[in-house]
Amino acid sequence: MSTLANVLLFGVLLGGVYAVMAYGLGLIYGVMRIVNLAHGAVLMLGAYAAYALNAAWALDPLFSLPLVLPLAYAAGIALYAALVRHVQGGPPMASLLLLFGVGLCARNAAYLVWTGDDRAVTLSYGLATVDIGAPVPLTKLLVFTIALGATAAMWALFKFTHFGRAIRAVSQDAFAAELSGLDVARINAHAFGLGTAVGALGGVLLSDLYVVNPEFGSGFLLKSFCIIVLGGMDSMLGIFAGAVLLGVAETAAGVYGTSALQDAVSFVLLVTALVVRPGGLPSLIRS
Amino acid sequence: MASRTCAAALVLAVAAACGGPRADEIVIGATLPITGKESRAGLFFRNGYTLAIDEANEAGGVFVRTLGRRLPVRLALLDDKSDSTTAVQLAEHLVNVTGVHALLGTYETKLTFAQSIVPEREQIPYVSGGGGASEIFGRGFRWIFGLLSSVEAMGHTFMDWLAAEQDAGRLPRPLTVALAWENTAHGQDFRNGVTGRAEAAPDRFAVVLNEAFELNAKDFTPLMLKLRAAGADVFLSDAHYPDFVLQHRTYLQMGLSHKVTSYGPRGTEAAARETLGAGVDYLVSGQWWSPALPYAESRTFLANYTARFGDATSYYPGLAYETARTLLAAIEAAGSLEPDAIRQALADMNRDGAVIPGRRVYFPAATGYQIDNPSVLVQNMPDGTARIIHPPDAVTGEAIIRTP
Repeated sequence: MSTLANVLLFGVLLGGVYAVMAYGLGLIYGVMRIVNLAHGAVLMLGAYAAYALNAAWALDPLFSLPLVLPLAYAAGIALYAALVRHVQGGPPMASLLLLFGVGLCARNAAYLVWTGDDRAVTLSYGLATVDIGAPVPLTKLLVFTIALGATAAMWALFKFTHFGRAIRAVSQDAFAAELSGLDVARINAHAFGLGTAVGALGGVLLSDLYVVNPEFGSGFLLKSFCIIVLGGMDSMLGIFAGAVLLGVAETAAGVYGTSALQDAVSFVLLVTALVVRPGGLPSLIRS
Repeated sequence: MASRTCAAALVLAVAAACGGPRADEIVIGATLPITGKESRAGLFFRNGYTLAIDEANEAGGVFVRTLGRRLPVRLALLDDKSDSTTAVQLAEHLVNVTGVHALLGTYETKLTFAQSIVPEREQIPYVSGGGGASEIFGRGFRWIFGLLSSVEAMGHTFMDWLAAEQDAGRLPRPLTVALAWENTAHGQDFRNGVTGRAEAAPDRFAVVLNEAFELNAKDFTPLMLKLRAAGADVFLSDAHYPDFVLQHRTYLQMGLSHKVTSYGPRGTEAAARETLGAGVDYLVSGQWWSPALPYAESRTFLANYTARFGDATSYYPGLAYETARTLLAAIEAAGSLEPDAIRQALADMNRDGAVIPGRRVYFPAATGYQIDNPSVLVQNMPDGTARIIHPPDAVTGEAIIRTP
């Protein structure tokens, strides 16, 4: 397989990883206009949940999703009801600081429970590959497939269900939605819960690929910001496209330039997008 | 008269309340990452320090010639929480409030680099076993002594071993080397060690790939694609544990193989074998101490440490133990608790019978008082053991050179 084909193939697969990493952040911002600085902690806790179930019962992280996602959903609702609702609609700094604090608390709690040791799930297929012209890690293929499925599921949720339409209505005009009879507070709580569950999904899937420790989420949080800016901040399809673009750009930078530049690519794209196209890829397509 | 007595009593009471050193004990201060990111290493270091000090106390203490008697040793240990700022603040507290006679270093290059400013400024001897980057010792400091050979020296050790394998006819000459290193002081040192030896012997080595990567990288596919294209005989990388796992997993998934593969100090961890399975077989790693070292001193230490604390499967315990032993030996050699005398004893030290590779402790001024012993190279075997393949005085088995 040619170098360019390798770059495209592995870049797209990396994009799938980045998409699941960013969905939770994008969902909460897109619906509630809250920048969730606890998103890194959600990824970290989702990964630890998968690790804990794997270590205790040899449960594959993918099979832990039916346990982890409802718990994360409930935790998100509880967090919203207890804390977030008090700062929503207020000065942006309040929600930023609150969720930053929540993230710090979660990280320190993780140190207490699991210490700073690096942990990894044990998978029977952890090194397995699928040959599609080049040996492709099975774990990355699975993550990519689930990322596609999650994108489709959320698109369908927001387009075809009453719940999804209600969330869209509240995100577009909360006052009008309230006047229409929607319980805005309840919908916001469920939206936050959904965003947390999607974030936990990302964490569980990332545990298949990466070593987990309490600092796990912080590196992903910065990239997630870049992706939601590229993706247009409130479009799941846009986030997926932004993630793929970033994945291909990073892989190309590493192959044609130097590996040390890979991380810099996300920040170059972030700054470029903010300056040239703050609306991200969707605005580029619309224009 | 009564007021003077009361004043003196008040001063003594305040001093006692502040935990200052009593005249009848030696107080050694230390901060370690007991909690936080580096807590695993911190706990090993605490155990190593504790064992060395307890052994000294069980032998009656350290003889201080100017006092004509043995004094017990007390370790004043604080948790720096794996944070550089906290490590500095606590070091200042130990020196200025607790009034320690000397300091043992914390763990990890970044913390050691930050903290070492304090003993240099306060002119208190500081012996470190937890920071290997040469930048710590390249600042012209006089009070900082390092028991961890530089990572550059580890790079030298790898290349010296490869040269020995060439001389034995087991590796080709010239040997092509692919080198990858994390973009930190640690990685830069390793790169300098490898490229330095390669440049000095172009008939032996050709570095065909020399690539930096960022710490905590999210994807090593581009690096592995370049590695495959380079077609080298050996692959040397220097990485922290999370990057090692991701990098080697990607390496295996891409079906790569070299005559010798190494990730610097990584590869012997039990967790690595759990995660990567047989993928860690035949990896060569450089260590600053190994429980497999055959030296009598090391075997004795290992038995005592294991009996008391259990697990000693990393290099931290031996290094920590020898660091504390070195400081205590310096105090005894100085014959005094005066900082200048202890510092001079450290600078003059040439002590045999150490548990670390080379079995000798010395601090050359030319390296900024950082020891320059070789590392011990170990190779993972399929049965889960690790055999020592270098230095020659510690070899426990022949290295396996793979056929890619």
